[in-house]
Amino acid sequence: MYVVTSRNVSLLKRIHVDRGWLPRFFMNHYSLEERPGSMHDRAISYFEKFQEMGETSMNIVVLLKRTFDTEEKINIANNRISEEGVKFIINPYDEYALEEAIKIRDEFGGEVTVISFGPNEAEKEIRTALAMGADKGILINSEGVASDEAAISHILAAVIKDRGFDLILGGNVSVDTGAGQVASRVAELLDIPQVMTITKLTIEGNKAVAERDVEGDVEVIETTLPALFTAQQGLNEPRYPSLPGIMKAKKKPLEFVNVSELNLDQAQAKAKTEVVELHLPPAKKAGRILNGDKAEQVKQLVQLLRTEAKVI
Amino acid sequence: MSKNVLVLAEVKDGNLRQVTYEAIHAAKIISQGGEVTAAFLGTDGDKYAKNLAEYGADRVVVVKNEALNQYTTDAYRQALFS
Repeated sequence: MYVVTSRNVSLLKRIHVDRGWLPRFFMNHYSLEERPGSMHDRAISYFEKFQEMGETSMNIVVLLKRTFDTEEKINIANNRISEEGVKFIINPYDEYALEEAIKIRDEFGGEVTVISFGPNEAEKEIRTALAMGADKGILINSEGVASDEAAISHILAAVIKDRGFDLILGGNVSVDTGAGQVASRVAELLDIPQVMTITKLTIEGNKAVAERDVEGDVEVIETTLPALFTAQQGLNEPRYPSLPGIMKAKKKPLEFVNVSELNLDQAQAKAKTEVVELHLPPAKKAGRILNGDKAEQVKQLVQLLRTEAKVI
Repeated sequence: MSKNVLVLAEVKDGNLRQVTYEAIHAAKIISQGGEVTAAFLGTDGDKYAKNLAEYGADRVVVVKNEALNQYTTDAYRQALFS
């Protein structure tokens, strides 16, 4: 599909109008009745029409996190989750966000930028996103940066603010830490509306209508753009990267950003929480089966409730 | 060190949610003698204030405004921060 942006419309205008012919693309999209006037006038009116379309093109930002594969077993060493030999993936909810972004971009034109705060290794997940169809990536180096959800939000918001956007999409929660705070905080910092856990998104001009999952109920919310939405399972079915997509992804622009380069209020961007301790849930104890006839079992049970469970 | 803790009460199907009571209890532990305030946003607040106090809130604040009957991030943020 040919993506029309304001920039390439004006370029086409220059080339094609000057030469007095219409590109096949425009001819194919309009019936004869819609083409009054001279060839030149027609060309101008079509280009103007497409220029309008160009203006509705969407600059979409996707917040993406590299997370543990949900299938991996969690081991804790030195009060941290051990990453040794673990497979990493794009946070599954972020994948829904990415898929939605690509679909909207394909419909309206524009650009999908994937932004991730993570270690250098997260380039792999960004490249996967580019292979799925995102246009460019930004990786903010997380190494050596003391960060929690508050800090990460400030960092992401600073990067987004510098670049402009019409729409921000993210996952409703990450499957590793499960805090579900970052996207919400980013929307607050950028002072734009936010709609969480969406299962449907429709864009009409500068308005968006989203359906959100509220613990089984559905809420329909209308908002103006720019706005931020977070994806819930059911929003769509993320595509797999195609082979040509994978090849193209290698050449797509990926920008590396260091936190020190950002225009940040360091005091605000400091982590406000600290993980004091990390432990696995207590192992479930094996049950005990009492033997004997019913009367005997009841007797044993009462005894155990008194002496072991100490509940009576 | 004692801390003052705010608990945001939630209602589902006309009843305070279990998790609100759990949050009050957790707030009690965290507060270490500080004050636990439960906030209820919405016109029905009076109905729930007694329960919130019974379950351990030292103070209950009810913000009555129709715009708060339905949760929206913007309205709730304004109500909580102003």
